Amino acid sequence: MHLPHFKYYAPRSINTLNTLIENINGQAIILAGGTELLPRMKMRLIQPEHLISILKIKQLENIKIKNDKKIEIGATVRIDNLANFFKANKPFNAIFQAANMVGSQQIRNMATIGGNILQNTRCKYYNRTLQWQKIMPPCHKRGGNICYAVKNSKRCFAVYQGDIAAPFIVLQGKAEFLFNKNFIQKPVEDIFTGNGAVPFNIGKSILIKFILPASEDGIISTYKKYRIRDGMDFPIAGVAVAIKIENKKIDDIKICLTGVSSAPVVIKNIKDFISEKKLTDKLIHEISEIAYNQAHPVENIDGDANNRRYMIKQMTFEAIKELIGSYEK
Amino acid sequence: MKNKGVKKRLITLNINNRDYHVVIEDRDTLLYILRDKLMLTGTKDACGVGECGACTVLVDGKAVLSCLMLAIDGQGKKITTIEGLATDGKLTYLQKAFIEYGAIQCGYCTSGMLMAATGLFNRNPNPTRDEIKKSIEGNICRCTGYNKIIHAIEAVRDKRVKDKK
Amino acid sequence: MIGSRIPRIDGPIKATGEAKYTTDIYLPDMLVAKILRSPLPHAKILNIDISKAKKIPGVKAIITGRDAWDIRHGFVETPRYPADQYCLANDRVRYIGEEIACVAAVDEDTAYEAIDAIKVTYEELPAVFDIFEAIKPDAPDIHTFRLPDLVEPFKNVGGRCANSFGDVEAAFKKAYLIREDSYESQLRTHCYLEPQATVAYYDVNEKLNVWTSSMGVFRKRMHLSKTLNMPLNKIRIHKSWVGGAFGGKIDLFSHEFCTSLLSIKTGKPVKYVAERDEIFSYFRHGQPMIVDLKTAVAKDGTILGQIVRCYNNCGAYRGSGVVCIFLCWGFIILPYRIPALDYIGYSIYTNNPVRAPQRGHGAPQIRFAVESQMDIIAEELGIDPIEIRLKNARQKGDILPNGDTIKNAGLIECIEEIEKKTDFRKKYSKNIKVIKEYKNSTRYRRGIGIGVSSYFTGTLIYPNNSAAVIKFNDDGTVQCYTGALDIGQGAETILAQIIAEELSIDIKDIEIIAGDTDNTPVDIGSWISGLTYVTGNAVKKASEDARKQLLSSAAKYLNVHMDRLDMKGKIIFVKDNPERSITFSEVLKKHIRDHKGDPIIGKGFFRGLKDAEHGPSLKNAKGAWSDSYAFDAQVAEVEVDMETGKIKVIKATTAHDCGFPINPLLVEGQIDGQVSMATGQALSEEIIMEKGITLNPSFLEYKLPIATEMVENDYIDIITEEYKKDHHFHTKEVGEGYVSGILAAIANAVYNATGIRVKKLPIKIPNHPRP
Repeated sequence: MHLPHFKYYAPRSINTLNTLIENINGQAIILAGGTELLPRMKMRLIQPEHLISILKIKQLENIKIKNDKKIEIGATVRIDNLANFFKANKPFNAIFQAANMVGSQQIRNMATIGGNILQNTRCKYYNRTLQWQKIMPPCHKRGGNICYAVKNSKRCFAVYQGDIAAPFIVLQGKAEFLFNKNFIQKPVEDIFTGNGAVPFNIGKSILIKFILPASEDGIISTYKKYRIRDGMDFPIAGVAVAIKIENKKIDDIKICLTGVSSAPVVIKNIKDFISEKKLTDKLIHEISEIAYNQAHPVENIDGDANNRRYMIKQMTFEAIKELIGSYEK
Repeated sequence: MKNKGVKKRLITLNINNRDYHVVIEDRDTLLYILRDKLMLTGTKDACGVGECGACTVLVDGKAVLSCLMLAIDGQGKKITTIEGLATDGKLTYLQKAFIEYGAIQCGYCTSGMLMAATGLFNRNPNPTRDEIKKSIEGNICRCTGYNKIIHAIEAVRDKRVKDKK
Repeated sequence: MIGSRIPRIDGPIKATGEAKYTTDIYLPDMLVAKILRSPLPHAKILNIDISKAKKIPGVKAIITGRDAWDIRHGFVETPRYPADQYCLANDRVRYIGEEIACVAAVDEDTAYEAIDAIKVTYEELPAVFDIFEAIKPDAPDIHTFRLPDLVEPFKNVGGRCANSFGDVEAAFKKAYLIREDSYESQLRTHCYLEPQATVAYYDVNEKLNVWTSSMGVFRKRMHLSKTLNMPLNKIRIHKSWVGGAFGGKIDLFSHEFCTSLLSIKTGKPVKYVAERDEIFSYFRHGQPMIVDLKTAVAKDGTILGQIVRCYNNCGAYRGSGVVCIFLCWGFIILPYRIPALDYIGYSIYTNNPVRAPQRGHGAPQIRFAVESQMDIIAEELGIDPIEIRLKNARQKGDILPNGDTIKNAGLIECIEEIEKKTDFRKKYSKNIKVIKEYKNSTRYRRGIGIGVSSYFTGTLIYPNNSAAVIKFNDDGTVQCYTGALDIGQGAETILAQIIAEELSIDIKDIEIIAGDTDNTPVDIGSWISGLTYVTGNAVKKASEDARKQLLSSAAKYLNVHMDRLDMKGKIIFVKDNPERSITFSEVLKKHIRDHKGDPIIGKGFFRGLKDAEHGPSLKNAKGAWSDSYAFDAQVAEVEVDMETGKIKVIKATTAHDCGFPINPLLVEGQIDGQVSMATGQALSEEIIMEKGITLNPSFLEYKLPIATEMVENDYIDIITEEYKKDHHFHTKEVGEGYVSGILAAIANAVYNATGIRVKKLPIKIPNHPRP
């Protein structure tokens, strides 16, 4: 199976990249690891005229700990390197867990953090080859106005199945973009639109890096992933949990879901919910129930939607219990 | 015809310690160049979209999927294919172990498995069984159930591979 | 040599990437073929306009049904089941993906461009996808064919197999317990790693050279000869290694015909390689089946009689469905003694892609049903799963309803040994206690289950026989010519071991030349579970023939009687005086001189069911079926996470009577692969289709097991046959029979862990929230 034809560019600096994007005529897409883009191109879901590889831009390929202890992760850092970097890191354990479970070793060697976060949403009625597209009239995500997953739906339910976004979000990660010569930082959760057909609001801006706040002793995190097989597969439900402990008490719990909606689902207001309450199993169940109530998967990827929703509850409970358990040790 | 006016480039790919000068189109994957242009057919194409691992090669010692890598991105890298494992006809321990331990049946996944396993030993000389499974989680085999493949890799780890040819 | 765990002889070339598969064949000036497929599940073809497509530069030839003569082909072709499928759609398409036209062009882009430029005008017809909708009187007719002996008022019946014996009514009248259950096996697929591929080259000598990924070269040649209207000697199926098949590469495929015809038209080599999503969407998957099972038993668990109805969704053409429903009968009457049976199997047309055999071909579906019900019956009678199986197990000497004799059966031993090895009874009752006593609060539950199965060893279906030739080189090394095809099971290694045993020589002194219709004699192929038996015996006889000739001449040259001679390492010596010896090389030299140039050629051949004219009747299951039957008992130990519903197979034990294992290492490999396939079928695999469209056509979405799902395997060999020189051996099959036992065992183990009876595959356990 051949890719469609395109023109390839490999700028060596951000400036060159910027100039290229400004002057290019026709559709240009950024190519990093290629593990997500190339299959979509082979399926003719997208046929850009220009492909701009950013793998030669040295500025994007490193993880740095800055003087203020913030961690900067360049857009083209490979998932495998990311996992290794955060391996024994308790506060950022959620990132390690998530990165370590992405795809296969080959994919972890090739794929980049930028590509992983900015991966397109997926649906079993969308990620199909050209042959299918010829038989089936276009759905919302393909520029049409129907939905095969949810009959009569006016919107797209394609699922965001990235593993690492939810950990970044609960760990207060930010993304830095270059747009029109300006560097702009946004919390990771703000780059998502929630629209399955057009999942990101970043337009033509270029992802430069991710910034994580300085790791604090009081933070512990983890990520739980539900998939049919014990490897390879995308999450069909995922929960990232970060717990902040202050003065030996649980000050805040941040929870973010993936794999159940068109964007990561940030569970809000847990801090208020747990304030002054004793953290019993019953309370953890109630927190899991809140997460469950904010998950609304439909039947458009692997597995059964009810199961996936249930697993959100189960994994949230397990994640919180596990973190508390590890803290108490 | 769609191929008129498509730009061609002459690139150099270092494969198995040898420089190959090939004419490519931008869209050519490394897998396509290996098999269709360089006749290095040991690397297999079984799905084309990175879901089966049969196309695994090493790039700078790391296992990657050649069906999802552009040939043009192979420049300046050290590429190793299955044909480059044995040196002067002498098989590696992994290859010998696969043969000795019954890890090969139809053989179609074998090249990808050997490359993935070689990549594993490049970064971890003493993997646990779980780490071994994880290193080949992206390599599908329908014949062996993975049992003897894992045994063979463990045999190399434990230095239990016969030396004779 | 026999019984040795030697590494396979094709190991090195596969470990270095040297082995050439069909996908690796590249010829000069080779054209690329692509297929235009039907977008509709059921339609009349009113017109096909290829005029625009033909004009595209780089397009060398286009063929449609008009070019294919009016020749049909089928998995079986009998007067009752005439061939029903065209190589390219004639006036009608009957499933999404059916082949309508094929283009040969200079490259892939051009071929696809031409495909897009072909204009087909359809008249859409109503389609039906579910078998129980398809049999209704108002269902659309997928074929005009009607089975003459069909008594039921069903439409779209492509095949019917009915067999009954014994007094079923009396059995049910006197039964202590009657159980009626229905079991559903899903649509699953082979997932062979090498895609479907064919290279065809019609050369200047008017010889059609074909490389194709198959399961038997002589069968492919026969199909091509028929559909292309060409004599057999003008078609050569070359040897290529095969990257897995599992039943999915037996039939004649459209692309094999198309590439051949396109090459004839263009005079150039033409290559077709299927894309993976094409394979998942349009090529042949396994046979889905619903089994309605009614069983009458005595108080002690002895089966008195059964009433069985099998409903098979064979797809838009008969495919192998009609064979499957016969085999299902077979898998009912093996491995248990059934005194009375009323069996009917239906193969029903639907507007889905055609289905094919998949490893077990009915056995997994039937054994899942029977073994699950046996456990229910055992529980209701208060006896354990081991006891009820021992009561009903077939034994040596049993005569099957069709007259075949079970020459050797190790089933009882398999069950007894496996009980001991897995400590089955103890674990089984312990787990039942856990369910009773702890009901909901134990999160991880263990379960143990048993499944028993039996499989036939080859039968008669074209080509029906195998032959082999053994030739000596001047230095005494040996070449063996056999039409056998190694599809991964290790055929060439097994045959080399047989020769090594017969001639007492080293494996390295043997060259196997295999799988080429020009260079090797006829062979039954690797898809009927008979290769080791039929071809093995042919090779054995050829070796014996060669051995006799060698000894006869050596006797003359050593001046002793033949009986006093033996051979080893290419030397023939007098048994009681080994110094008196002569090398093969010397014997050959003298023999050639003394026998007017005869270089000693050993010839061997074999046909199973030697007294039968043909295989058993697909209509009523009568007639000889197979020479020997393999038996196995398999135990699965599972762990179920009651909270998440996740099931893990912790361990699988297989006690198998495969006769005797020629190479235990290879037998283990077969068991490993089948346990893996069974685990996938039990827990996660399913082709999901909606109105004829496949929704999960990829390795990512079709959940076949990956390395993290590897199951620990234990093996128990039950040897019931012997390898004897001068006797043909009854080694039994090992390639297919070990899927069904484990599949059933997993389902039974899940019950033992959870108290939930499984009626449908894949198994889905609801998750239980914590209390």
